[in-house]
Amino acid sequence: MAVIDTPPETVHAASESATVIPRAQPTGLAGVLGSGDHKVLGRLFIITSLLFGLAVVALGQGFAVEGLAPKTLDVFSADTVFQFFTFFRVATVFLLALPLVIGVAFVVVPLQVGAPALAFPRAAAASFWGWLLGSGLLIASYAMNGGPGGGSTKGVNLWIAALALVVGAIVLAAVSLATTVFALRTPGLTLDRAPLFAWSVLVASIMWLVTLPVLFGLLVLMYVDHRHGGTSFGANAGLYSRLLWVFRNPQIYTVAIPVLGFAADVLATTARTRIAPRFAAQGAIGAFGIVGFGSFFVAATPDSGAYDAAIVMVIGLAAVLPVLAIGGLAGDLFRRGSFRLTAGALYAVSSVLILLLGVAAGALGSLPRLDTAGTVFDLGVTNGVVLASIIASLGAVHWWATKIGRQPANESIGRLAPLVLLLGSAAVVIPDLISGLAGDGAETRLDWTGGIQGLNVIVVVGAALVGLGLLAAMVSLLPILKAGTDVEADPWEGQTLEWLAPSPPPLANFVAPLPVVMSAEPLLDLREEK
Amino acid sequence: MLKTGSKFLFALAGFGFFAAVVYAAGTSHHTLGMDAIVGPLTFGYKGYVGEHSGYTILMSLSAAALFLGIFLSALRDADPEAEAQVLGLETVPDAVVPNSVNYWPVVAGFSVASIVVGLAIGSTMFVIGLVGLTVTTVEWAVRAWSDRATGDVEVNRAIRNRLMYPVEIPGLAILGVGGFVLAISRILLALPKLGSYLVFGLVPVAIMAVGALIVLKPKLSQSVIAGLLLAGGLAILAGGIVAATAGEQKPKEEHKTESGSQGDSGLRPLGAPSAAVVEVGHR
Repeated sequence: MAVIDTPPETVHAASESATVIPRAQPTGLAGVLGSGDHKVLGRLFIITSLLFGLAVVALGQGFAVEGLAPKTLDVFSADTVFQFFTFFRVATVFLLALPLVIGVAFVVVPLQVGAPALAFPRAAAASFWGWLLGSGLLIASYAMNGGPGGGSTKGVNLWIAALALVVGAIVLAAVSLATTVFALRTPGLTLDRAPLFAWSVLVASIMWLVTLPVLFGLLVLMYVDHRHGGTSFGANAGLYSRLLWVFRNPQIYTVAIPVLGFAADVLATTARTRIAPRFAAQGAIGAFGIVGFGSFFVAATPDSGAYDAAIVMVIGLAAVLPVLAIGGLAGDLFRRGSFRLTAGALYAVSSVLILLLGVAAGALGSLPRLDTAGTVFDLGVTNGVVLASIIASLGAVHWWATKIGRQPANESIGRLAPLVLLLGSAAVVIPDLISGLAGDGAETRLDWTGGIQGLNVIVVVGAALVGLGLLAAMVSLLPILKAGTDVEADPWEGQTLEWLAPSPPPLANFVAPLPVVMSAEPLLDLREEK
Repeated sequence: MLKTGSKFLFALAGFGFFAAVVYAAGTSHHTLGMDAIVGPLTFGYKGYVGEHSGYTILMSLSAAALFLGIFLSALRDADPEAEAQVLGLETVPDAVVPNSVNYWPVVAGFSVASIVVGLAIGSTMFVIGLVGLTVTTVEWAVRAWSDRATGDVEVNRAIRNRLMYPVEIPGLAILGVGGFVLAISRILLALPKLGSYLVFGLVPVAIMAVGALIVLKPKLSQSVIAGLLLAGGLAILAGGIVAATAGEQKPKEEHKTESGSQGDSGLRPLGAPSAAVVEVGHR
């Protein structure tokens, strides 16, 4: 008997003497706090990140408005504007985009690979609670006058430690996701047959696993340094420039890897045909992940010259190709298949277009001759990539609404939302790119707004449209919260295993054992056989 | 044969190596020649390596991805058939569905958050967090073991309770009473005089009220208990942050009167012992 086995006498004694009363599955707050069900955890990630998202978008609108007339419109006071600016950039990635993607992946990935649960479900639960509490402490640190540029030593210390907690929680979630795709696939579902969204989540998780620990290590060093006088990383304001690599290309691309998987899965399903060649789609997603490795900039500051290295240019230019490849494969689907106009397809197309804008701008910005470092050009690239990720995640919630929630989302409002988000995102990103090329930069202005004032009017309109689009998307998702009757398991004629699960899926996801999978599109095979 | 997952990792390893060489050569600020190429290839043993941190990270990426790629290649991408073969079974066992409530992930989250607050603010919160994390580790390990003890969830729970109740109940009592007394003492220190009178009066009333509630309704719903624990956890974190912001109430210095004989309290300070002190014990 192994040391971890229970001695038979213990089992016997416990069975005999203890009054064993079966307990009902707890509901309400107890069911939420104590749950290890991947669907509950995914929903928690989605709802809380969207709530943070509303605050982040409102903050972005504040910066856009101040950019109209920085000298007269004093939305943020001179003392606090830098802290609000850094909060905006940190929260956009770590409180909105990444957790939103993780939330969707938590729900969808186990269903797609035919698993009854996430790998390490309790660790996944700990990752959510750690992230939520870390995010709360991050906000509290700013309230204490902390964060980069803050005046309170304790507040700055709390900011560093809280950000480390957030990063650690995301790494834990990535471990759970990557292990699920690797180790919990149903028999026959080899990795080359795995749905493209699950594959993209695997690639993204691996990239988070190999890059975010570098950020974690950097934060540990910063904390130790700051506790002992803060000589190595500059004063409080200097902390931000050491973290810039996380929010710049290529590292920011890791946030948007699942965009490509989502688009490929949704467009193939709406076109009622198979994506071909499949290895090209998988290769493109993998390549986009690989070029997203940017943590080697850990020691680089904007003026260090590291950003002028040849490898930056190569990566910047190479990142466009995978997005173009997925765009090409999508075009081929439209040509071969019988396309349906669904909200999911509109979300997918919008997110790929904005991502293409972001990576194309990133490629342009990597040319040293254009000298865009320190200008709002970087902000434009980051905003483009992050907005693409947010649009795709909202689209994913809409597409998999019956698996994530209880009912389908509102399709007509759902079709409007991605179009508004597409217009808004373009209006936010393009003026910043133009202003950046003209040499105008957030870092060069005292109010941290940046941008040519005339063009900033378009940014204000864009920011308002993004806010409206986000609200429209959230309104379209409201029906999924209500209980429904006889909800269709497969409303879209899906191709992959998640559509075999009832809607909403029960605790173990599938009511019957799954048959051995023989292709990448098992449900399409079944329909074709009929 | 190389499969999809290992191919990705080998590609990542190749990228890391190639990028490390180019990056190290490109940032070395020396004329591009053999030394700039040989340096990165020999890990700086010969020639030049430019920016060291980035080079090290890229080379580490290459090594880690190569190791994982080889590992995954040996396990054939962890395909279920390969896993079953490794385990010596016909099919892999199903993943365990977490079908019971487990609050330890939440407690772990609060404990780490408490450590974070402690790291920034003070040692008390750090110690609370560390204790919480230690308890969580033990409880989590026991829970993980007991969940797999038998196939019956209720029997597993009984096994776990039989093992842990003799430790948990006295431990909780000590922690509860000790923590409560400590917390109240901290609150009394932080409050002004009137506030401390109020707290001193209200706390026994609150204890009485909670006792009465337990007597009247001995079985609370799990959600109420979970809510109370959640509120408690949040109160600890919020209390830590507020205490750090507001700081501890410092006792006011006594104003000396002109005669120097009386303080604010109206008590006469003890004078130095006079020569007429009667000594006892020495004969």
